[in-house]
Amino acid sequence: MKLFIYRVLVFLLPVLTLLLVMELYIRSLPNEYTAKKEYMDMHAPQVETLILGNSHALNGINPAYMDGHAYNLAFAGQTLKYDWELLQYYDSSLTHLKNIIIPISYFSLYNNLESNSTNKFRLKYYKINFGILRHENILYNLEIASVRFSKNVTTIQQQVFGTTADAHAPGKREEYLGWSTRNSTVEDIEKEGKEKVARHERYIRPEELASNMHYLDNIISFAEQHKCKLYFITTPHYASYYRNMETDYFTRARHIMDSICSLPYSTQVRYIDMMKDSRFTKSDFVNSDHLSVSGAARLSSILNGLLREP
Amino acid sequence: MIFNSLAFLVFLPVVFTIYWLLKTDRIRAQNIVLLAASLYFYACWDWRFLFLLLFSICLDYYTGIKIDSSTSTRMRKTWMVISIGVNLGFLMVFKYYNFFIDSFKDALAAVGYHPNIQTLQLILPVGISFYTFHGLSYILDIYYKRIRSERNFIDYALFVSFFPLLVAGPIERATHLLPQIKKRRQFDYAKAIDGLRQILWGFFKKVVIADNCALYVNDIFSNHSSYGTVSLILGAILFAVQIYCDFSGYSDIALGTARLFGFELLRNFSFPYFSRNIAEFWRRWHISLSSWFRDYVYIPLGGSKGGLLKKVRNTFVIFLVSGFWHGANWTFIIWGGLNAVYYLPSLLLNQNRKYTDIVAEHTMLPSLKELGHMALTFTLTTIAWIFFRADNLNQALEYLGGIFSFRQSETVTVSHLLYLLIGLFFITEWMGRKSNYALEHILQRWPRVARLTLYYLLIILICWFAGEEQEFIYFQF
Repeated sequence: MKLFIYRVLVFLLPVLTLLLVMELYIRSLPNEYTAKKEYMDMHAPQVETLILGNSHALNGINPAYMDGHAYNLAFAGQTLKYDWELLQYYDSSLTHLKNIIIPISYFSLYNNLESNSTNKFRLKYYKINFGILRHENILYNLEIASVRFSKNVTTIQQQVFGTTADAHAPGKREEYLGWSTRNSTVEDIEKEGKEKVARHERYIRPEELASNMHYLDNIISFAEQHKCKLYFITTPHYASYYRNMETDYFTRARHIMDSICSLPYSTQVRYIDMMKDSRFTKSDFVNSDHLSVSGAARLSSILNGLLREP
Repeated sequence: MIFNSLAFLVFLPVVFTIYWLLKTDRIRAQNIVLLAASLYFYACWDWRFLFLLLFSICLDYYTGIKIDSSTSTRMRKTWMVISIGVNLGFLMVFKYYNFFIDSFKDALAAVGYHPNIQTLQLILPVGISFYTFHGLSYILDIYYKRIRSERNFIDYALFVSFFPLLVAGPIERATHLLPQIKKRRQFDYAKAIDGLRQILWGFFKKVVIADNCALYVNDIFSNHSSYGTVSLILGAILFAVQIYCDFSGYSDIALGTARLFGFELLRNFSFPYFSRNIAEFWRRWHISLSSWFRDYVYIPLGGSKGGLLKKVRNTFVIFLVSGFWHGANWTFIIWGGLNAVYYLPSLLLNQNRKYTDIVAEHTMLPSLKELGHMALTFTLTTIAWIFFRADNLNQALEYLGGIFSFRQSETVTVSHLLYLLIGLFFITEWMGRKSNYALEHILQRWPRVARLTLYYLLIILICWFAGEEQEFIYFQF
């Protein structure tokens, strides 16, 4: 048996070594999470406006258009749970925090990252970069195991040959305040809207409402403790998106948000629904639910006006 | 825990090392290690269902002893009925209750009555159909006096819960596995290497072929109305490949894993897509289930003895029951019925035992006639698979209708690499069709370097295509 184990180990050694080297190499590469972590570790005490949430905030709210020191700590697919976890992570550092902005998307109250097949590979970043949460599934603690092996090879290949693998990579921006935009605009926004809603609806799990409400409560308590204003925003969407939505879910979510925000708190908690905002035209969108550079500028300026209000 | 998970890749070497570190004359200790590992393996899904498994084990252990020790036929029968009744009762509640209620409501709705009967929100315990059938075969074998009851609880519990076969078979028999559990097991280097080779081949089938086919199959089946005839045919063929590689891949991993621990499990697949008629296909597909139904349903019903009508009735019974075993959905029943219809010509013409040999056993390639027979058998089974894959009867009928509409709508583009891999896979299967699994013997004449290169190539392909863990199709049954 010893001979068997020895030979199997010798046989597997090159494979295991290769996998280990790949894991370490990919971990060493800069990505959006490492860049934001680095920034927040250095500047969290100066941040006055913190933007959290998913890609709707990541692409839609540009801190460059806001007064004071604003920073966008949103990530694609980020749910309320991880907004709350990040707030907790920087709890003691956010000493000058005045405003928190969190997007409430169509699906925000009904989903979780763990069951979102498109984005759950991102779970590892919270563990690797922020050291928060340990996932039962070992795949989500490792870089190479949470995506297809071919994707890892492509990432390494692009690094070695000098092209950037991550469209959101921080190197693409001159002034990195956490905001990023998408590289291309969809050709057929009508068709894309319908498909996008269908994809988002696959991740809707009504049973997640209770836990998301719990995270909302925690976030509100956090805002009260830090005496900062809390803004929940539904970012503008193109008509092809909201026309195809299962309206019951969104109506219910909006009703919940209105109810929550109407309660008396020791700080200002507001919900602003801009889903169908007529100030945004087709050129303000890169696709049915993400704003373009001009759209983000417009939304950020509008929000900045709101932040100035007493 | 599933085989194609990192957790299993850690679990297996740990259990293997502990197991063989124990002295081989300590069979009891080895069995306890395996039993503990098996229960842990099962609890990784949902520990609550462990109690159901343990209850089933205790029930069959106790009733087995009672049947064996009873002298009166009446008492033997009573204990047998209790055991089978309770086992099937659990299966009915967890797997079929909602189906019966929904069907009953639909039937009443058809005559204008709408009763308010609630369905249950139950999760199907993984592997329940498999371990229930283990227990049933054990009880029936004791009842028919083929075996004596097992008095050692650990040994019996291990027979039912042995982790390689616990969740998706092969469905073992007490006559085959229990003697191995009780026998002293010596580490055999050649067998262990063979086990690893079969595991590797199983992973290749599952991760590289089945999971890649699934990407296209899922898309084509869920958007079948927008695809044209060619794409729909392609979707059905890819599903035929997917389900074979998924389930036989699982079986290969199970058999290889068991071999690492010194056990030989029942063979489950024997190159079914090289069958020349449906009867041969069913002797080569999910062999442990087919033989279970043959021994415990078909033969007690009279088998092929008696008149023609009785033969036809018995054939339909086992295919319909087999379909229903797969799931509580009319699609599975139709799938079973369709296979029974396919089987009838062989039965009526007394040709169901015609092909018991290996196709083109003494030649490199099949004759044109054999090729034609294989193609026809594959086509028939692929049509039946449409019902197996569809979510409901409507979808299956629309899918079939789409194929025969000869419409030229959207066409799916399958990657050339997948075509190449499927092609190479079937060539390998053809070359290894005389073995227990394709890679078993064809590498023996290769130089060591070439063999190792192929193993590394398979590992690279598995890593290349590995991503999110995809459950095995048969876990849902």
